[in-house]
Amino acid sequence: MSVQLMDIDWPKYTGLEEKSSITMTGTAKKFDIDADLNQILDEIGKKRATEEDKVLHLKKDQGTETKKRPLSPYFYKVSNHHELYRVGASFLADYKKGVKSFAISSVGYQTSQQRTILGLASFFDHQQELKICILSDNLYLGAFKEIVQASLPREMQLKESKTPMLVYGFYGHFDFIDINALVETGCSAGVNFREFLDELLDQFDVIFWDVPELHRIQSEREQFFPLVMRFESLSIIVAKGQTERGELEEVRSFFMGYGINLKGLLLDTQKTDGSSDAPQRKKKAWWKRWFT
Amino acid sequence: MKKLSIILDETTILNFPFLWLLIWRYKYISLITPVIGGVLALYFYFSQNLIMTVSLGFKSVSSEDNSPSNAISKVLGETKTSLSPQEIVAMASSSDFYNKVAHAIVDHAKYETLNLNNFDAKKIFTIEELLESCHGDKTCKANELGKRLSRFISVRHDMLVENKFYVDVKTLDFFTSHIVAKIVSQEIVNTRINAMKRVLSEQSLITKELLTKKSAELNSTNFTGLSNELQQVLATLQTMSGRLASLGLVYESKKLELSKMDITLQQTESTMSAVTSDEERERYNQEVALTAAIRQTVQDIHAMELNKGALSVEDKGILEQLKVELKNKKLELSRVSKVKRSIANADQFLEAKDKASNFTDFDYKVAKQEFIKLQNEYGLLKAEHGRFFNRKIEIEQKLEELKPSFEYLKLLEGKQVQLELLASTVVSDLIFEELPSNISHFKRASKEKIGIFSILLTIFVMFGVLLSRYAFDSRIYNEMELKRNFENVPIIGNTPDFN
Repeated sequence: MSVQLMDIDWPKYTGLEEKSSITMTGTAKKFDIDADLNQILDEIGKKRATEEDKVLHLKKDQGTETKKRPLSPYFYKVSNHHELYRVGASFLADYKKGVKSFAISSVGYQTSQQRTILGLASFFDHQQELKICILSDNLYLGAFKEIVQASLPREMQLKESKTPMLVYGFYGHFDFIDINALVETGCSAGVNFREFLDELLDQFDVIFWDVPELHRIQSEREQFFPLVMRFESLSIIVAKGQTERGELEEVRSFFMGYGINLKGLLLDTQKTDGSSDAPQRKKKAWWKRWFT
Repeated sequence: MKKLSIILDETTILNFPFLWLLIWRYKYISLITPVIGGVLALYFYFSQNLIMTVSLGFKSVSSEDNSPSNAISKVLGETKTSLSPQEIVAMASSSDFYNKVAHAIVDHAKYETLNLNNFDAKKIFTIEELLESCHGDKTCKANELGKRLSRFISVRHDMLVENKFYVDVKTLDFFTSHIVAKIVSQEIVNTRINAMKRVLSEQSLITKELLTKKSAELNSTNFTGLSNELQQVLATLQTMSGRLASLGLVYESKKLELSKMDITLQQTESTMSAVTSDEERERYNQEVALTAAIRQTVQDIHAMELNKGALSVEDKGILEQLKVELKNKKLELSRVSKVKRSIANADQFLEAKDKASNFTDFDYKVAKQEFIKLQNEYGLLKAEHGRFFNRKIEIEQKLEELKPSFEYLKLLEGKQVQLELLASTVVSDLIFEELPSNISHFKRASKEKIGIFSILLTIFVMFGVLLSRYAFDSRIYNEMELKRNFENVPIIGNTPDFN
């Protein structure tokens, strides 16, 4: 799997027009790009820094030295910034309590899941210097699409697998792993999927699971059960005016049946429109919608 | 129940803010329902037929003094109450009335041109088409038409003018309304007259029966016989009274005459039997002599007293002597008792009476015989008169006892005459105007009515659909519903959104 970096519209993500001429091909210029991006993001950080940003200097464990990290632009693209801070703080508190693996599920609203994960990852990235991994089965669609396209793929060789895992690193902020590839690799011959999974997840400080749709998990239990068992905290997104009580109850019951801790519910107040290229939830017939 | 508790409110019954929320939540329903309501209202309004109304006014004059029947009733002592407005309205809304009107319509010359389609008819049929199931049968047509008429005809009371009413005829055609209004007015008048006549004829019948009954009762008491007898007795008594009066006069005169003759006869007999004694004759002569001597003495005394001065002593002695003599003679005269004047002529008188006494006695006897005969006759007549008089009193007492029944009978006879008179002169007390009071056209439901009704109905239906939709809607719209459905699950917050 490869990413066509040529197609990435960098100015769109950086907000700096003068850097719009950056072009890259292959992995040869990886370090140069990193340097450039760090510079760009640093400038963004300087430009958009607030009083809160000034506090966001990571403290090294060993000393009092503070380092001004490049800030993720997505943290500031959040329109309900205050709400993100509140939600993120809740997750961060859990993290501080030792929870590492956060699963975000819904009843088929992949875009909402992706936006939430992106927002939380940005928040974590802002708060602490952590290795954040985002696992999703829809990396190339929806909110992740642009970021993954802007990310640099790298191969991660694990002891448990013969073939390396492809990881998309977004300039040191987040790493994206495709669940489909993960499952494929983990289920390949000669691989102990659980150990492989443990080894992989140990590489990161925080893991956000973009949980696939329930019917898919139910239909491919063998592949997804090891993943599900890695969920330490589950948050379910409720799409305002779309999520039905029964469906939500089904998702909740399913995961709670596996003993996964239900952290809580997240309310998605955004109206999804058809313009999104995220996987759209299949609508029920009108009479079913009316009488269910 | 949870949903119901949200819809209801403790103070306002309905949770209006929540209903407003539902309007926004189900926008399509909130928009489509009023649009459908408006379209339906417009369709309903414009699809209505135009209804032509003709109002014909009429007045009830039954309680007024100028009503002929009322005037006659008053003269004859009839107390008649007028028709109440309710009675008038009810009279023109009975099935019987509609049936009569229907028959009149069927018999009308313009029957085939009438338009008696329903107000909400989408297609207009001729009256023959409407009644084609009757296959030309007139009675059937009238019956079928009678069933339909109630929707076209109504009678209402004027709110301002007393005793004023209106017949409103509403059809889809002005010409039909006009003709039907005229027919209805005629039928109302006819119905009223028939009703009045029927009442009078029934009263007359009852009176006749009572009259027959009372008459039979009186006949059983021989009231007529007694009355006739009384008349005869009265006539006899009158005749007898005349005779008795004239006979009485004769009787009394005869009685007086007889008495007079009796006295004459007695005096004659008494005179004839009377005897004059010699002593009486001598005393009579002595009296005459003394009277003459007294007169002479008085003359002498007067003569001497005239020349009293020239009298000598002797003369005076003589005068005194004369006076004493006069005194003695007067005393002597007073001692002599008076005798009857007839003594002088007694013999002559007795002779004359002796000659007349025979005639007097005979006349007396004849008169007495006549008197006795007259007395007997008078007595018999008087007794007969008394007998008839008693009979008269007896009959009168009996008739007095029967008088109430008789009076009642007479009243009944009067009533019978009065009823017959009324029946022959009865006229309707409902007077119709010649020209219609109001001619108008309208649609069954006005714009305003349909507008208000459709707005209210739309609101009601909209909220009904909204609430139904809400009841069947299991989707979650806000944090409150989320909390209510998953009470033990914490709500972390809202998902982040990117610009």
